[in-house]
Amino acid sequence: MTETTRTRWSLAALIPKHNATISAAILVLVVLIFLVATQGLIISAGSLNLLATFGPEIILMTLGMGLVLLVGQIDLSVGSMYIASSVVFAGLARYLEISPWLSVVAALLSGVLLGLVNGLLVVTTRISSFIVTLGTMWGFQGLMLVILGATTIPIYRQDDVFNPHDLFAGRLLGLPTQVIWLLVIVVTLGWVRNRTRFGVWMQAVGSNVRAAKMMGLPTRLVTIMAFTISGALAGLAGVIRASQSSQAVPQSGEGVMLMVLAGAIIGGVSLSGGKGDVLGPFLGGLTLLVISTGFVMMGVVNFWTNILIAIAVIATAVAFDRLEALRVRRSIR
Amino acid sequence: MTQPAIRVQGIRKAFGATRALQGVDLEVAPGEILGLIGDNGAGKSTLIKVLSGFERPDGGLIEIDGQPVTLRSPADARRLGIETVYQEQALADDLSVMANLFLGNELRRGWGPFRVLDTRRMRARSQEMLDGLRLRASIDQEARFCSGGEKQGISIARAINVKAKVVILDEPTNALGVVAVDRVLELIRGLREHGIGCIFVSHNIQHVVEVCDRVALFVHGTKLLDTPVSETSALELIELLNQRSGNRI
Repeated sequence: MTETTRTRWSLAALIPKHNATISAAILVLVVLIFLVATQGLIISAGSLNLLATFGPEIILMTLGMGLVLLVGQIDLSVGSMYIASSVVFAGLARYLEISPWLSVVAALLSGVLLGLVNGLLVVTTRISSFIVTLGTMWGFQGLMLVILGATTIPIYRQDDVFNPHDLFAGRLLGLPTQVIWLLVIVVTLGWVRNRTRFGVWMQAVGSNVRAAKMMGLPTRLVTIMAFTISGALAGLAGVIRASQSSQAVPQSGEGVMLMVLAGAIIGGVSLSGGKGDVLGPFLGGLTLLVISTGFVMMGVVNFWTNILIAIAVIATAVAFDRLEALRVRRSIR
Repeated sequence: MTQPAIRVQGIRKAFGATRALQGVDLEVAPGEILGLIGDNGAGKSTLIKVLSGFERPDGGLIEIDGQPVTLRSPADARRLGIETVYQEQALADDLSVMANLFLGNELRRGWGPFRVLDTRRMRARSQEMLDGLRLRASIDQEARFCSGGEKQGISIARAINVKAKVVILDEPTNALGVVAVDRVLELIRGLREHGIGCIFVSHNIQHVVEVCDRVALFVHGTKLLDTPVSETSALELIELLNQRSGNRI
């Protein structure tokens, strides 16, 4: 009893138990920096609106990346799946004149399908997912460009009827609907990760696939599911993108994957698997968005964003590493 | 005569030209501890892999509680009551002790697809499991912060919890300190009370003699000797090992 009271008052008790705590601290820090640097503009209605409009799609993909990293894999093809989905939406609606609702369903399914392809390839070839998804990153995009060419595809929206734009990039209760989508998905995935067996299994597979197999877990299915979720989220992000901008641009999406990966890392997800939750990547993705919005508000050249993101990524990775060392030292005593 | 917990007959397994197992017979009674010794390459690890579902044998029969079984995967083996405790890597290091104790066997509540982990029940049960074996690890600590002995203990607790019929221990005393070895051997003896048959694989013949009821000696994929420990000695076993599989260094 005395021992616990003693540790409670020692410095060791200050070591955060969860990486998400650090991610939250970094977000707060970044917000504070930009509060000063932009003289409060970062919390102005305009800037928040910018964040709420363009942020959710990136964060959605960051969540997917977090889960893929959690099972010990990586998904470099998120950017391609994201653009592919927006192109499927726009292409079907425009060229084949299919109803926009059906096109949206097809776009979402295309995300699921491409994610499934990634998962199946990784599990059946046993080649590292870095290689597999490096391949599919080029492959998915190449396929799209071959079929459609590098032309922007506009989607005509009929303003008089309820259409996908209202559902994915409209407003509800004063909030952009993409924010509502994001919140629903954060809560759902958080529930899956923290409260269900599947969440534990994902972590077990990423932590020690051999032990997971020995315990009879369906390790391949778990891996495939993680990739499929990543694909599905990229699909949803693509639909939001196309709805928001009323067009799809097959040759875009550059840099999305790296941003998403950086967000997951700032969110406390480990590249070696077995670590990570849903809240962390949410905060990590948000941090990066605050950085880029902040620079926009300051009117600084876009390239500065890259430099600050670089610092944020490396600094947090170091912080997580030190934190880990502290935890080990404390537990060994 | 009680039914053996596990009985294998004529198990064969070859990897290319290497005949790792050349028709092995073995049985373990409930509550019995069988020591498995032999030099490297004697076929011990292949036999373990076959029994834990990692490798499929080329031929032979495996019976659990008198029922013939086919082990296609580790999941099969586990479902049929064979638990394997590997020297390393038996636990997922990033998971808590509790999550490891229930891995693949989680207690849940709720309905259909909305079933959630029943953390409260798992906490209580895992505390009981650790207390029952007098293990001091906290159920919330990550497994990588456990000592080697504690990890073995957790694996053993897990085996008891799922009411395993047979526990295979692969070099459980390797790389452990003296005190930890005693503790692990004590835990293995404890498996007897639960009527669990145990296959104890070790290079350390002292430990085998200390804890086992019977010992089987493997040489080049065949069983050379199978005798009650009371009728042999560590010295005799080492002598035999040297004669039959030595001369290779």
